[in-house]
Amino acid sequence: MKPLSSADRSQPEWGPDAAELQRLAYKLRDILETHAAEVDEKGIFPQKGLDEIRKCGLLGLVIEPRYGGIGASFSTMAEVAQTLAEGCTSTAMIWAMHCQQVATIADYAERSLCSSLLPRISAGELYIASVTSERDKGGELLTALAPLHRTGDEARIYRDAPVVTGGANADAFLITMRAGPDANPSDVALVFADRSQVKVDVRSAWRSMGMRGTQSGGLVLEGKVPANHIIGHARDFKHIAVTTMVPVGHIAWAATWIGSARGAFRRFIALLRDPVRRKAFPVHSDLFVERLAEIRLELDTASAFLRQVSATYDRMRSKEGIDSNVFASPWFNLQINNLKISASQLAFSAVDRMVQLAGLRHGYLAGSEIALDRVFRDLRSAALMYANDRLRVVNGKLALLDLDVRLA
Amino acid sequence: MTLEMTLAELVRRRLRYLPREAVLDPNVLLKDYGLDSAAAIDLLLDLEDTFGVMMPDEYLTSETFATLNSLRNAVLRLVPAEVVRGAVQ
Repeated sequence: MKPLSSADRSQPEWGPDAAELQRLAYKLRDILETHAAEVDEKGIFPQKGLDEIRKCGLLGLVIEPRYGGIGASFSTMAEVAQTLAEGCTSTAMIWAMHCQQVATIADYAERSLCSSLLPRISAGELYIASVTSERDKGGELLTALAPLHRTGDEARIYRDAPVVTGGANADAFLITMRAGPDANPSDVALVFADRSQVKVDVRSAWRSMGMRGTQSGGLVLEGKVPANHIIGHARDFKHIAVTTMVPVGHIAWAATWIGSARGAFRRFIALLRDPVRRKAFPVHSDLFVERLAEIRLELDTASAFLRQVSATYDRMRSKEGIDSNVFASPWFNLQINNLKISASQLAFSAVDRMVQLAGLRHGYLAGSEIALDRVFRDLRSAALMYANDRLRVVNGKLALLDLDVRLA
Repeated sequence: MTLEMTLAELVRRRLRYLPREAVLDPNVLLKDYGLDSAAAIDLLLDLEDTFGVMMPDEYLTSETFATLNSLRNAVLRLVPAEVVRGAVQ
C-alpha cells in the first residue's frame, strides 16, 4: 500500500485519489465476511483476517509515510473501520482499537521509540492491544491503581486487567499504570510493552454474548521495559486522553458499530432486491417500506454524526496541533461523547428493527444468510463499552459549562 | 399473452392518471400518466417478480422507465428469451 499524498489526507472521507485504499478495504471486508461466522460460533480470535490486514499495510494506516505508514486522516480511518466492520465486527474492533494505540504512540512517544516502533507497525509486525481496565476500578480511563516501579533506566510492570480487547493475541500492549507507588490514582503513566518484554498470563476466558472474536479475556502482565517506553511523560495523561485516546477511540468504536449495522442492512437489502428470495417479504406494503425507511434514517443519522465529528477532529489536529488545549473544551468533549452514545444506540436500534422486519427465519435464527443475530449480539455491547450511563453523567455536567451551546 | 401485453398490464397498475378504458400507446411517456419515481420502484419490483431477475443498477434510469417500449427493450436485453416466454404464458 503506497502512502497517500498530502492532498488525500485533507479529504474528509476517502478522497478521490484514495480509490486504491477503498478497493483494498472492500476486498478485506469480503475476506473478513467469509470468516465471521466461524469466529463468532467458535469464539476464536480472527487470526486469518488480522493476517490479511497485516499483509496489506493497514496496521500502519494512521502512521505518517516517513515511518512507512499510509498517513491517512481519522476520517479515513473511520471509513476503513466501517468497511471492515461490514464483514466482521470483532475484527474491525480489534483493528480500530489498534489504530487508537498507534495514534497515541505516534503523538506522544519519544522520537527514539517512534523510530523503532512505527516502521515495525507499518510493516505489519505489531498488533497492539489497549490495557486500561483494572479489577478494582472497572473501565475508567483517567485513573490507574497498579503502580509503575522505576529503577534507573527501567520500569517494572505488574498489571492485572480483567478485560483486554484482543489481549491474548496481541504482539504488544499500551498500558495505563499509576505513575509510581506514591502517586495518586489520577496520576497515570502510559507504558508501551512488547510481548517479548512481559510475561502474559491469560487468567480468564472470554465467553460473551457477542464480539466473541475479540477474545477479550483477562490478563496479568509482568515484566520490565526501558524508560523510553513511558509515553508522553512530559505531558499529563489527561491531555493525552482528551487530545488523542478518547477522540480516536470513540471515532473508532462508532465507525465499527455503524459499519457493522451497515453491513447487516446491505445484506438485508440484497435479500429484498432478489426476486426469488424476497417472496416472504411484503415489499409493496407501505408499512413495510416505512419501517425500512426508519432503519435507513437511523443509519444515515449515525453516519452523518460520525463524519461531522471526524472531520472536526481532523481539522482541529491540523489547525491547532495536539499541544493545544482546545481538545479539553466542553463543547468538543460533548460532541465526542455524544458520538459514542448516539452511534451505540442508533446502530443497535437499526439492527433491532431489522430483526423485527426480517422475522423469525432471517432475523432471529442463528446461521441466517444475512447474519442479523450475530450483528445484534455484537452491537448489544456498544452501550456497555465505556458505559453510556457514565458518559451521560459526564455530558450532563459538561452541558452546564458550554454556555454558548456549541452544537456538532 | 405476449410480452407487450404482460408489460402493459404491469405498467397500467402503476399509472394513476391513465383512464381505465384508454389504450396505452407503447411510445407515450409514462411519467405523464403518473409513473413518478416511487411508482417506478413499485414497477421495478413487479418486473423483477414477474421475470425472476434483479435489475442491475445501470437499468435503473429514467430512460429505462420512459415508455412501454423502452421497458420492453430493457426486459429483452436482461431476461433470456425462454424465461420471457415462460413468464408471459
